[in-house]
Amino acid sequence: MVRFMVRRLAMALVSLFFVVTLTFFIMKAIPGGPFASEKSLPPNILAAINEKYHLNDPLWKQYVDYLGRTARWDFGPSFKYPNRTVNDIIRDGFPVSAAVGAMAVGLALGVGLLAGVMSALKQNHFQDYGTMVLATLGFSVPSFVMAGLLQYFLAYRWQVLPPALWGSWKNIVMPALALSALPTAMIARLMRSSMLEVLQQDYIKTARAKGLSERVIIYRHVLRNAILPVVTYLGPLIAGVFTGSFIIESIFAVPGLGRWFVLSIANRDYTVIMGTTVFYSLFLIAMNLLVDLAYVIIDPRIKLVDRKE
Amino acid sequence: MLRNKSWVLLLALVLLVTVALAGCGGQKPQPADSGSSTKAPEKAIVYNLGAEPETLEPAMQIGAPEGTVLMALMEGLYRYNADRKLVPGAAEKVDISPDGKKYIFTIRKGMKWTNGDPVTAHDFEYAWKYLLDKNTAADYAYLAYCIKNGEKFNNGEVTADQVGVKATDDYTLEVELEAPTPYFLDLTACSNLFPVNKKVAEANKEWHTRPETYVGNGPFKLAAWEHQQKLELVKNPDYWDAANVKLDKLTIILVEDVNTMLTMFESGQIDVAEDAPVKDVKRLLADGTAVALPDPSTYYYILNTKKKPLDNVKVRQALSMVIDRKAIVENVTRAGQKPATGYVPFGFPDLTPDKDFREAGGALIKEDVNKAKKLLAEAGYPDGKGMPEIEILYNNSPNHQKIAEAIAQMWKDNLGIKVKLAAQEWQVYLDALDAGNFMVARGGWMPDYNDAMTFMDVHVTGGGNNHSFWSNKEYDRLIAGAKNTNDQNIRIKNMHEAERILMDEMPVIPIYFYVNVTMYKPWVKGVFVPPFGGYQEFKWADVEGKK
Repeated sequence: MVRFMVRRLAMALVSLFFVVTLTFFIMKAIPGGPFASEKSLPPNILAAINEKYHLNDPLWKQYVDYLGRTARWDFGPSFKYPNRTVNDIIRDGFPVSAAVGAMAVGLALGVGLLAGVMSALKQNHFQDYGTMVLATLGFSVPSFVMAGLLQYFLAYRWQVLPPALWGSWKNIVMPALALSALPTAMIARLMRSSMLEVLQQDYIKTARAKGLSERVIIYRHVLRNAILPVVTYLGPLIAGVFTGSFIIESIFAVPGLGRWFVLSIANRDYTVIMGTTVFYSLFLIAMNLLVDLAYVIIDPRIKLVDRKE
Repeated sequence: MLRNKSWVLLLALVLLVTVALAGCGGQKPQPADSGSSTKAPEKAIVYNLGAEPETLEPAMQIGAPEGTVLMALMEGLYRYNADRKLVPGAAEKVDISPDGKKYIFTIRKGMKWTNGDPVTAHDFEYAWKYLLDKNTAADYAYLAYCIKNGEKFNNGEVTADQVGVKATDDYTLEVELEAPTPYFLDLTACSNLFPVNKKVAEANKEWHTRPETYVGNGPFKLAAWEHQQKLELVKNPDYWDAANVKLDKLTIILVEDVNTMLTMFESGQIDVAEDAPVKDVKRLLADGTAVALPDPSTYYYILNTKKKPLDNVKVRQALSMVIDRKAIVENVTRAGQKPATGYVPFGFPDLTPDKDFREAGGALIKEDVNKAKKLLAEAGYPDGKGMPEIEILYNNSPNHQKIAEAIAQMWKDNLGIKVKLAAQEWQVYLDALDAGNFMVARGGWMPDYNDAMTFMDVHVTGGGNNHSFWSNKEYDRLIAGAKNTNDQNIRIKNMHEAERILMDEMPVIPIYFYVNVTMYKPWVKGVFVPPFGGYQEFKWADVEGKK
């Protein structure tokens, strides 16, 4: 177990290093820069700006400086919003995105699992068809359409929720709903197909032959085995949803982290690009590690041991 | 039993993470004050600024969103009133020397910063030198290049003491200019030239980043700034002209999505907003919810005069003549824009400030399909035969795309030439523009100051923004002549002449003049769009007849 963890952490560090390096050089390779504007600046002013932000240093030096700052977890100030540091942006934005994301993942898990289990148990009945039609809708309706519909009905027509901005729990509901549609559909379908597969396994037949009640079979044998694909999906899902969505956050004016992933690239806000990318990678790695740990809990056959060389 | 236990463990883990993170998110309990107060009639306006201000430090201000907030928080030497006239702000009066090169401002006595310090001439001297300081690295330092040695100081060639701005005592500010600059007073109304409290700024470089440390001298003061959410401004009782400030509270919210903004406006949560969705603009203008105010900017197409066949003036003229500008503003952009009749838009002073440069210049753009065909034939491409394919470059945006499609169609139908479109991401497009890697590109120009020169000097040979790479000796001579004289007759005459040359040679094809579409709730009074530096001026704002 300990060896496994050490190994995984070492691997995480290596992948992080590659993420940091690749992001840095790709970022520098795309045209433009944080201070490009439609109005060309006098060359001397541009030179002064580049000097101030060390953008005229040789590339290797910028890279080394950057690696050092990343190691100290200090990404420096945003170029575009000079009065905020990248650390501030992450510290302010992540909890907001995570709150919306947690509610969305909660919803997706609750509704998705229930729907998936139900349609598997009632395969080819109307419940099954009904949920699968809904799931296909959840899959195919883009989140911004969903968001627009929610906003129109809940905020404009019926006025039960505020249309946008942040502040109370009411502001979380619509973004979370809009965000949860896709993962709910995904989980429902995953759960359904994996349930159906497990139900046909020999050990289920054995359990039935032993005379176990259907209830015990479903709870103890089917669910536990069937949920593994959902758990696998949960790692990247949490990493993706908790760090926010650009579209949803723009529509509902949520001050989360999601918008920074997109806007920082459009602005060539180098420090923010690097900070958010590193943060996201770390979070993703951590979530995947958690998923691996969860396997052990769910499936006793899986053990966290190193292969003997 | 053991198995059940692990189940519970997993569930607990998921729940724990969920709750912990949700808990972090909820740590900002904000009393929801969405206008449901029943107390004394507080006059409040909610304005949607859209984008988060990048900074509220006057020297570093670049965009209009910051300009709007700064105009509310600060007071420069002069300020534009509702008639777009300059009125004294922090300056009581100014004496200008006969050669137009020396300005002596008398600073109003008794003005206070929001921390209680007196506002003095030293604060202006400090702020302007800070703007010009090389280490500040401000984009708009060049606005102050008209001040003597301003550019040299910005280049690090002279010391701060040699810059032509000096506070001779607490209430006298002497400014020496490089050359007569008729629009210098207009510049003092720009946010980049606003004063900064010297004591505060020297003690704390970060003074402008938080409401607790922000020190202004304007009609409002900064009470709260929640990033990507809102800024709260309240009336500044110490403002010198507080008697004329009727608004108690200005809430500036930051909703970027235009559809969300419209929903909030229509459900009464926003009182003033811009940028209505294109599909709604026509309806909003028709029912009086929105007004289209002229925005002194021009939308044009840049023709790369270094590329065949655009190096031929007849080809350039033909391309311009077959564009139906009226059809574009009525069917494509649809927000009340005006078809361009020249290069300089409406809104700039002519010989006297009450005359308009564009009106005096007349219509310089001809639309004539038959003439265009003839010109193209003369250029060696009868009916477009043998003409290389033209590529239109624009930055990704549905509006630019629709305009490009319309223009491509007009060129194809009327001239028989082949046209293709190329959309690029904003910064890639800027790069292509600078490098000249394009044939035809979308472009536009916004003014920096209140004079036609801000448009005209763009196209001089070798100019940093002369993306068409066009060069005309006569044009250069006329612009240089206008820049080096204080005689308004010569300046205006030269600029009209230069514009005629520009519109005859067509290195840029003007398409339309922009408008600023603003939505005001009927109870909002006294808010207007100033000529420069911001979207809305709130100093004289009032609320009347709100239920």
